[in-house]
Parts: sequence; C-alpha cells; structure tokens
Amino acid sequence: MDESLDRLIATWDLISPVPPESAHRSRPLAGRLGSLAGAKGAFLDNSKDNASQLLRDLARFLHLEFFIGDASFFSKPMHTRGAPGSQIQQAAQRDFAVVAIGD
Amino acid sequence: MHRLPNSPAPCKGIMSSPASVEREDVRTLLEELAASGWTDGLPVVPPFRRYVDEMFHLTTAQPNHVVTRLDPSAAPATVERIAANAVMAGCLPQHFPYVLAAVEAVSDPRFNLRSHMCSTHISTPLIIVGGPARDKVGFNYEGNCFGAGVRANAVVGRALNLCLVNIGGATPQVVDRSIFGHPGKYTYCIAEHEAASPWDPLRVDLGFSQTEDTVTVYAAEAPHSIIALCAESPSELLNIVADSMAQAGLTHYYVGGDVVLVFGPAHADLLAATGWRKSDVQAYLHEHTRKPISLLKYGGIWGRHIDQNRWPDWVNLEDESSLVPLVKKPKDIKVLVAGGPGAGSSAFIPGWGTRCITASVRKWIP
Repeated sequence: MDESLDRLIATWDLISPVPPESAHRSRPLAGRLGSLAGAKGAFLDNSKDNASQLLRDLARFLHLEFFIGDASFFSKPMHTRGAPGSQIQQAAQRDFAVVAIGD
Repeated sequence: MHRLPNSPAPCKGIMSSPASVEREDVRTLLEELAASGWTDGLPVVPPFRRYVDEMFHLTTAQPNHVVTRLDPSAAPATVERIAANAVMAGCLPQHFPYVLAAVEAVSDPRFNLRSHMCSTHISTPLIIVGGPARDKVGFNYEGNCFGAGVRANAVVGRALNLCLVNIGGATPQVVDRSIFGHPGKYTYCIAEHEAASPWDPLRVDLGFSQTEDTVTVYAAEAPHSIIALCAESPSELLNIVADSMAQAGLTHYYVGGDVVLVFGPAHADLLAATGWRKSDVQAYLHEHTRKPISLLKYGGIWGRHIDQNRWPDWVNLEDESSLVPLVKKPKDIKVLVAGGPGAGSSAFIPGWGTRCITASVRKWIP
C-alpha cells in the first residue's frame, strides 16, 4: 500500500477495505526448465476460438524458436466453468503448461 | 427522498460521528477517500475503526475470521475487511449478516467468480433476499424493487460490489474486462415478495427451509420488462413471456446455466387462479423458448466446441431445424415473485451461464 494511503488510514483511524499485497495468495512458481528443447508442452484454452488460435500460434513459435517437443492442446468444456480435474491432471503430465483465455 | 413503507426507522445510537472529526474536515476526508481508489465512484461512509467495530454488534463473526478467499485475487476476505467495505457502502449492523452471506455465496465454485469477474460479458451478481427477517431488516420486494429508495437493498448490494473490487481485485477496466459494464455494479439487490407468491420461495427450490433467512446470488444481466396486460389465461400470458425470453443472442443457448424470471404480483395471481404449479410454468417455458440450430449457428458463441456443450442429448446437431432449449432443464428457469401492484408486468433476467447459489444469513447471527 502506498504511503498516502497509510497516512490516510493513520490520520483518520480507518480500517482499510483493501487487504495488504502480502495477503494475496502466493502461488509458488513452477520449477523452471533449464531448456525448452524437447520439452513436452500442454496448452489449455477457455474453449473460445481466439484462445485456441493464440495458443496454437504460440506453440508453433516455441517449436521454431525454442525447439519444444510435442504440444498437447486442451480446451475447457465451457468458458463459464472451470477446467475439470481430469484435464488438469493430463496437462500436469507434460513438462510445462501454458494457459490462456481469448474472446 | 421519502422513506418507503417497509423501510426501518433509523437506528439510534449507531454510526455516530467520531468526536475527532470536525465538520470542516468532512469534505477533505471524502475527497481523500475518493482519491484512494477504494470507492465505486460515489461518495462513501468513511470506514472509521469505531464504525467498523459497530458492525459486530449483531453477528457472531470474529474480525479475523476468513470467510473466503475472494477471487480473482484470491485475497483473504476477513470479517473485518468485509465490515470496512460494508461501512463504506452505508450498511448498519443489521445489514451486515446479509453482506457476509452474499460474500460466502459468490465464493461457491459453482458461481465461478474468478471467471465471472474477468469476463467481457454484461453481467454482475444480483442478490435475492428471502426469509422471514426481510421485513424487519427493511428489504424492498414491492414497487421499484430493482430501483432506488430503500436503504437495505441499496447498501447490501453496494457492499458486495465494493468487496468484489477492494478485496477480490476486480478493478474495472483492469481486471474486470466487461465490454459494457453494468449499472448493477453499483448495487443490485432485491427481495422476494413471498406473500404474493402462490409457490414456494426460491430458497426452498434450492434446498433451504421456509423459515431460513437467505441470500441467493445470480450472475445477472439487467432485468428485461415483459408487459402482458391483456392475457386472460396462463397460456396467453406464458406465450408472451416465452417470446420475451427467447433471444438468440443470449449466452444461455450455448452454455446453459440458470435464468431468473420474476413474475409481478398480477401475473402471479393469474397463474395461481388457474392452479398452475411452478413446475408447470417451468416446463411450459422450457418448451416454448427453443430456437433452431439454423439460427443459433450465426449467433452467440457457436464455434468449434459446439459438440462439447451441454445441450440435451435429443438435440440433433446434424439437423438445422432441430430446436435447442434456452437452458438444459425446466428447473434451470428459476421463478420467483416480486414487484408492486399494477397492470401485468414481469421481468426476465438472463445471466452469464452459471448457477444461482444460496447461502444462509442466520449462521452469522447469534
């Protein structure tokens, strides 16, 4: 939180309606790969065509520039619902995963 | 603004100003709050520590209790943090349990708040209040129930929206990517007119008891008017209702979920007089709101995954004349009664394509 908000809270004896940055869920980063060469990738889209297009173009780029191995593509069944656990488990079998949404 | 008949009297002894705030300071403080990024654009009640503490007068909740992690930021929504937002919205202590229940309800995974808050769609959570305490607390379920003028509706709806932005991180134009937004992002809260309904209230349909006080949340578009002044039979009325509901551009034809239909008292009376059960109404509307594939394939989000959607098995994708229902099952059309007296009007509220979720208010009250 910036200093002006700290001062505002202290001056007026307010309770902040906003949680501190540190309270946001800290999701540990996945282990970094030493190289993408030959790595198998999972690409999960939100079932909309632009997301699929984006991820397929990205996979092509990664293949040409970074020599990734197999690319597996997944789509959520519906953009208004979360990806099913079975789909996430399948994606987790690959060396890396890329998730994107499109509209 | 005049006080409507079911508005409670102001609560004496509550929300008195801290002595340290001089009158000339008030404008300065409101401007500082406006610049803080904590508001919805309208002036807010300052979340003084004393005011926030007063929110705990009528609840069993402890300040540090984490009600949920509120998406999309997944930040912990502590009772105290929710109370600060409730104060800013203008809540009194009697409103606070409804805010806690609403925050809990939107966090149900079936509501999919994380995606909903980031969506480009024109929807926002609608709160539907039910239960015997609604009169005592002062919720409006009669005339102008979707509109302004009643504090309980205004502040509970506003408090939820402030929580979604301030705690959940759904900042408009940054994380909230809605193309148009929604006027209900200021506040969107109604109650059920249970005395005017010939059927069980919505909470009973969703597994709660008649005696329970609840909130139901629904990812909702704006209410769409359905005027049918001359209908004299259920089928005459419901044909107009069905035609008003069946719009090819609605997301429901493609993703299902629930829709909400609010019958005004006059329409409810017509249906009650002829003995139509809620299930009869739902079945009739499910049958009469279907659209052919030949039309739907040019609209909505028809695409490469259409064969994976949740349409009933009897929809034949190879036959363009095959009719697709608005939602998958008749009971996905949620029916309730609200509104004031007057010529026959009802309201249809399409949504984003997820489920209505109900949560108990009583669990937060001693």
